[in-house]
Formats: sequence, C-alpha cells, structure tokens
Amino acid sequence: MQGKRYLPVGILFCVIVVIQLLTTLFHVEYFLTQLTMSAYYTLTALGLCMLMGYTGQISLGQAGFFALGGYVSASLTTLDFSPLRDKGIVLFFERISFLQTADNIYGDEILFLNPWIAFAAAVLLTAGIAFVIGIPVLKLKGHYLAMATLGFSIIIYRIVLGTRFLGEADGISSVPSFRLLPGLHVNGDFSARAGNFYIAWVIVIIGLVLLLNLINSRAGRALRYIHGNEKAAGAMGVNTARYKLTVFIISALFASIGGFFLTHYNGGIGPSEAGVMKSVRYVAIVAVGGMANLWGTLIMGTLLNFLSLRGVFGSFDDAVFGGILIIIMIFAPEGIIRPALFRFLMDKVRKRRRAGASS
Amino acid sequence: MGSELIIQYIFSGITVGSIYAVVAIGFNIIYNATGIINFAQGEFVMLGGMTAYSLSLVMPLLPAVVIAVVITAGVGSLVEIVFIRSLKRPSVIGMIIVTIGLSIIIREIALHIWDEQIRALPFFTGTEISSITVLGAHISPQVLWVLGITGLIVAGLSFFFSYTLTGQAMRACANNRTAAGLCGIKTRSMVNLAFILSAGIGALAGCVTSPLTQTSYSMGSDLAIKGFTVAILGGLGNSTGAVAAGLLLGLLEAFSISLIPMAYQDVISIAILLIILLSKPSGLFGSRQAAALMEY
Amino acid sequence: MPLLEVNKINKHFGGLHAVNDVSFTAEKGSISAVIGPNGAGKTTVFNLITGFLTPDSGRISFEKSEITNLKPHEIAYQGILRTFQNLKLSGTMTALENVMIGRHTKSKSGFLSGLLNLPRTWKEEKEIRDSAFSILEKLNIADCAGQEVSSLPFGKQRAVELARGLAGEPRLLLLDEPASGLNIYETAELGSLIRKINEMGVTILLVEHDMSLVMDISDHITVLNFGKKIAAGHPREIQRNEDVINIYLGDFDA
Repeated sequence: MQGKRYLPVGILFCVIVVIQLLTTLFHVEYFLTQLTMSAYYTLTALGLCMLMGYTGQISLGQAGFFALGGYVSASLTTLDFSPLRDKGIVLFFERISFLQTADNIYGDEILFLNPWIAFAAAVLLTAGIAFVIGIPVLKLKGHYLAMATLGFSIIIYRIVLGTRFLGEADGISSVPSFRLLPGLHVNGDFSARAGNFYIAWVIVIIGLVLLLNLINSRAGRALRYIHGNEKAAGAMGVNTARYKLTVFIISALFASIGGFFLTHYNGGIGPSEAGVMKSVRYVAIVAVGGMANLWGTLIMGTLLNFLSLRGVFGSFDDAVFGGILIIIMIFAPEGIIRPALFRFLMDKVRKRRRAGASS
Repeated sequence: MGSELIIQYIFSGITVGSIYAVVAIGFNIIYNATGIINFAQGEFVMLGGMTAYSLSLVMPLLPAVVIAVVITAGVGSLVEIVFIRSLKRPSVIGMIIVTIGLSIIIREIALHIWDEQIRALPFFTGTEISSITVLGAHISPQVLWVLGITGLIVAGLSFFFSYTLTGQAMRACANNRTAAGLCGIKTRSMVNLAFILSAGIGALAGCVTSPLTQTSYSMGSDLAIKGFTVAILGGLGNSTGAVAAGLLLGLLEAFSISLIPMAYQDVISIAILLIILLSKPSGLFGSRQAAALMEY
Repeated sequence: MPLLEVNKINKHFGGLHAVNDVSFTAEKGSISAVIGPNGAGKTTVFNLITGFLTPDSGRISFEKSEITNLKPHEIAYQGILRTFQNLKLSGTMTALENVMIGRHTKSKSGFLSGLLNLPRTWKEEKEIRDSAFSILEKLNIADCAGQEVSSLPFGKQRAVELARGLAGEPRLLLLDEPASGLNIYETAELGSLIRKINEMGVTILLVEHDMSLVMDISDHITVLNFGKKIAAGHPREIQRNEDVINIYLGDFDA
C-alpha cells in the first residue's frame, strides 16, 4: 500500500537522471539551469498546493515568503564583517565557522556569515512571521483571506523595494556559494550545473515525499476535511485553527526554502520575486495542476516555469499566467492533470489492446 | 504647519480620496449584485483614462471622455458576459482567480496598446499651472472638477438606486436573487448592468483625475487594493460608508507624506486594510451579518 | 443520573431572543428529544451545546463538568459528537475516509509523524481504518466504503454521517433531524438503529420534526416554542399536553 505511494517518486527520480544524461548527450546543458530554477519555484508551488488545494485556504502571499527566505539570506551573507575583525566576538565566530572567508570580485578577502546560519535565520524568521500573521489572517475566509495574503505580499514587496539595506530596486547580488556538503555547493558555476540540478530536484523530491506522507496521514485527513467542511471537522474534534496555522507555516517554509536556495543558485535576488505577479503565478500553477493534486502542481510548475524562463512567452509572460487562470477556472476547474483523465486514457489503451489480442 | 499647507493637504487628500471612493463604490455595486469582488475594478479606471487620452488626440475633450466612458462600460459588460457568466462552478476561490486573471490580462493588453509611457489627459479647464484660490490655498481647477464629478456620481447613483425602477430592481436582486427573479426581474441583465455601471463610473473617475495624477498601464492594481481597502473600511456593500472611508484614507495618505518616506507610502493603505480585516471586517459602518460574505 | 445538564441558557441574535431561559437534562443511557415548530430554537440549542455558539447566559454541564464555553473540538474530546441536519460530509473523500475522521478524538498522530510517515503511525492508521470499516459493516453500508461520498444516494450518505458520529465512540450523540428526507420505512429503520446504538451504551439527544420517530423511541421530550420551553416529560404526557397540541395544530378558540 505504501509502495504505491512512493513508486511514482522513484519514477520521478529516474526521469530526473535521464533528463540530466540527455542534456549532456544533446549538448544542451544550459537547459539544466532553467530546470534547476524551475525546481525551486515548483517547491514553492507545492507548499501552496498543500495550503490551497488540500486545506482550501487561498493565499496570494506565497511570493512574500519566497522573498523572505531569499532576502534574509542574501542580506545576511553579503555583509562584510572584515572591518570588525578587531572585535573579539567576531574572531570567535570566525574560529567556530559562523563566519567564513572568501575573495570578492576585487580580489580582497571578505568575512561573511556562514550561509548555514543564514539558513537557520531564514527558516526561523519565516516560521515566526507565518505564525504571527497566520493566527489572525486564517480566521478570514474567501475574499478577505485572499486580500489579506495579497496585502502581505505587497508589504514585503514595498519593504524590499524601499529599503537601502535590501538593495531597493536593484536587489542584492554577489550572494556567496552555499556549501551543502563537502564538494556539493549551491551556486551558479557552470561547472557545477549538473550537481546543482540534482541538489534542486532531490530537495523537491524530499518535499514531495513529505507532503505525500502528510496527505495520507491522520493530520492530512483532518486538513482535507477542513476544506469546505470546517464545521464538521471541528465537531469531530479537529482543532481547525491550529491545523490551519500549522499547514500555513509549512507552506510558508516550503516557499522560504525555495527562495533561499534559488538566491544562492542565482547569486542574488530582486524585488520582482516578491511581487504580486509572482504570487499570482503560484496560484495559477496550483490551479492548472488541479488544486488538490501534488503531481499536477509538480508537472505544471516545472513546465510553465521552464517555458517562462526560456523566454517562450516573450513579453506576454505575465499575461500567460493571467490567461491560464481564467481559462482553467472557466473550462477546467479541476485542472488539466486529472486522475479521471488519466484513467480514461488507460481504459482506451486497454480496450485497444484487448481488441488487438482477440483479432 | 501653516494653515495654507493644511488646506492644501486637505484638498489633496479629498481629491485622491474621492477616486478611492468611486473605485470602492464600483466594488460595492458589483458585490451587491453578485457577491463577487471584482479584482479588475482598478483596470476600468485605467482604461477610461487611457482610452480618453487616445481619443483626445483626434477629437475635442468632451466627446473623448464621453466615448471613453461608453467604451469602458462596454468592456465591463463584455467581461461579465464572456467570463463571469461562463463560470461552471461558481466558487469563491474560482471567482477570485478569474477576476485576478482578468485584471492581469486587461493590464497586459493595455501595455501592448499604450506601452509603459505615462499619459495624461489635458486639463478640463485651464492648464497645469492655472490655480484658483480656495480658502486660502492654491489649487488647480481640476480639483474642483474631480470633486464635482465625484459628487455627481454619488448623487446620481443614489438617485438611481432609490427612485428609478431599474435601480430598485437591482437592489431587489442584491437582496434576494431568487425572489427578484420570481418577480419578473431579469437577474442576468441586472448583473450585466452592475458591471456596466461599475466600469462606467470607474472610467469617468479615471478621466477626471488623469490630468492630475496621470494614467499608466499599471495603475489599476494599486487602485484596486486601495479601493478594496476603502470598501471594506466603509463596510462592504455600503456606498455611503465607502465615500466616508475613501475621504478618510485620502486624507490619511495626504497627511502622512510629511511623516513617512515616499517609498513606504503604499504600506499605509495596506496596513490599514490588514488592521481592519483582522479586527473588524465589517468595517467602520458595516454590520457583522453583512460581513459574512454573501453566497454567489 | 443526568449526563447533560442545560441550565437556563439564553441566546440573542440582534433583537431576536432565539433561546429563552431554556433548561433540560438528558439522563445517562436515555434517548431524549427536543421538538418544536420551525424557528423554535432547536438547532440553536444544539449549536450552543456543541460549542458553535456561546450562550449569552446560563450554564451547560456534561458529567458534572462545565462545558459552556468550550470550543467545538474540545466538546468532541469530552465525548460529545453530533450529526448535522444538512449533511456535512466531505464530498470528494470516500465513505471510509469520512468515517475515519470520526475517529480523530481516539487517535493521536500529529503533523510531524504525518510528514515523516513514522512507523509508530502505521499501527494507528490501521486501527483507525479497521474500526471505521467495522462501523460501516454494522450499518450495512460496507459495500460503499471505497466510493466517493458525493456519488452515494441520500439515504446512504445519512448512514455515513451517522457512522462518522459513532466512530468516535461518543458518550453522548447529538442527532440533528436525522429523519429529514427519509420516508416512512426508512424512518422506522432509523428508529430501530437509534435504539440499537442506545443499547450499546450511547446516550442520545435528538432534535427532530418527525413525530412518529420521536414518540416511538424517546424516553423524554422537551418542547420548545419561540425559544422558550413550554413542556417536558414522557412522550405520553407530551401527546396529551394542551399547549403542545395548540402550537402544532393552531389555537381553535382564537
């Protein structure tokens, strides 16, 4: 029974490996860059899928949490502490590797915060903020909830756009490499393209597995019950406020981690990652993938982001996602990756096979 | 602060505030008729200004404005027929998503028609440097146009909803769609009319403020957020409340310029929105029952 | 011994005094009913007991401890479960999953064990699934266990909702108009089903319109009209009570 759940994940991993090998074969390694970026965006969308699709809480704030993760790390890791080297505490931190050294683009040595510390900071800050705004915001429903989460996204956008420390309109660049394991770094080096590709997708797979587990667990059942049926869930003993808050925090963490990793991969982040348009994209991806459909979100998230990053949509980029939203809601509210559709096709294949065998 | 400056700020505030109020009223009209919150409301304002600008290049100002309003109202009607009506399973999330998608599409189309340049209609009377002295402050005559036209809009709608048969029919629909239908009111037409009205008044507001605040393809979403804030602040569906709330927000923004750096200006209205949503979603003037969102 | 004591509760909705100084008790092991014409406040009383509304005044206690201000999920953990008049099932989930959620108060796994799929949850999941299935069997609807609940006929959906309430092994089960939408035969079946559940040790409190069901199975009836209690007692007494007859049939002297 559990094997059935993890088999598609295994298949996904094989597909990932095959794709990487194919890109080397056809000398299109640059595809890996866009696929890596798509992975982190898809991770963010998966978190939203859990919140919006399964628990039924609409959120237009996912980009805000993505930016939170990215900017916290970017701002912390680009601070140069070398002028403070005469302070005892700075030397101490350097000794215990809280601070690291590297050469900047001018060849000077700089002393910066260990990205692991920044990671911890990003995660804690995200969880904290999600907790604090989640408590009141999740009491809202429908349009009010959408607006409140939209408001959150806009506030983050305005703050990063207007604050010198956060780079204002130019964002933050020269974000250092992030050493996951000895030899495994998250950065934009072309030589490390394949490694980064695998890092990104392994992270996505881990996230996917966690969510698949959650959906089929007691907590996941309670979450699905809250969707469209909050009263009954409460009457059966589900502490709906606590459950909604927890999944909100989980969703925010997915976004924040996605933002963190993408920032280190790209070596920087800009205010556009926080904007309303990005939040809308995540919603569009979840919607077209079928709302309560993790695999749908994964497929559409990767596909759409990849096409967008390759510039296929040209100057109509935002319009495409807007159009998708409308078309899906009107013509296919269940998304286009539907289990029913899949079953329908399988039936057709089976019928044809039977006809072929009997002739 | 000298008293002249204060009067200046007040005029600035109520000018901007009346536009917010008109957008909020547009939200309310559609909300009352359908239970939907039309995220594309701000785009109607933008379309009005932009269309009028293009038309004003080939015809005098007055017909340009009138035709722009009519065209935008037509767009509103079209939007309702093509998109809102064809929603198979009207759910709240679905509605939100569709209207958001619409606002993006309209904005992108505007971008491709008018590109990123900022446009502005010519001043209705005088030029950008003419000024009148009112209560000791020097203000542009356009300000009086804004206040006057907004006042007319509010008064006109008030009259329409209270004393005309169609207006009362719309209110009946808002109250109880099934009952209204049983009385012979064509509810579909009422919904369409709601969109026509909202788009029309939005366009008019867009035209009259264009000389002062300029019009750009992306102004719609900011206006929508502020308009929504005002609508909620005044009590969703309550247009008198919307007027009061709009003026309030406008004044707040005007006076806060002296306190908060420009970059964080918009954070004020969003902060207000969040505070209201989280403490009293029924707004300053609404009732708790009304705040429970209507079924579509 | 009274399991549930409702003591002088009041609830206003704006100007409407929906529940007016209502008091009654439900004895342990009994089947009690609350009846009254439409708008009498019966469902409001239910919502007050189950924590969806808070009384403006008055006390509600369960097994001697006060539950007046508890939230709905806390009430569930006390052992009080309910069904809803307009079925509140999760349409996209299967019948079995709907009943499994009824088991929520009897299980513990949280988010962490859910995310990580820890082995200690496997046994609990099996137990939840098995007990939910056995309840479906007891109600003779085990054949629809794997079907999406929205595709089931109304009568079966009602049974699933009832099964969900039973899954949590409640001490007090509140049934909100369980016979609504059922015909005579189905109502009679429901009656014997409720009696069977009661014999298993569950105290039942029901709100109902259908007189035949109420008179047939109740040990005690409380009658409400316009939010006020106007009569209480054994079914036979209620049947002969003039005030009760008047509110249902109208006042012929007027």
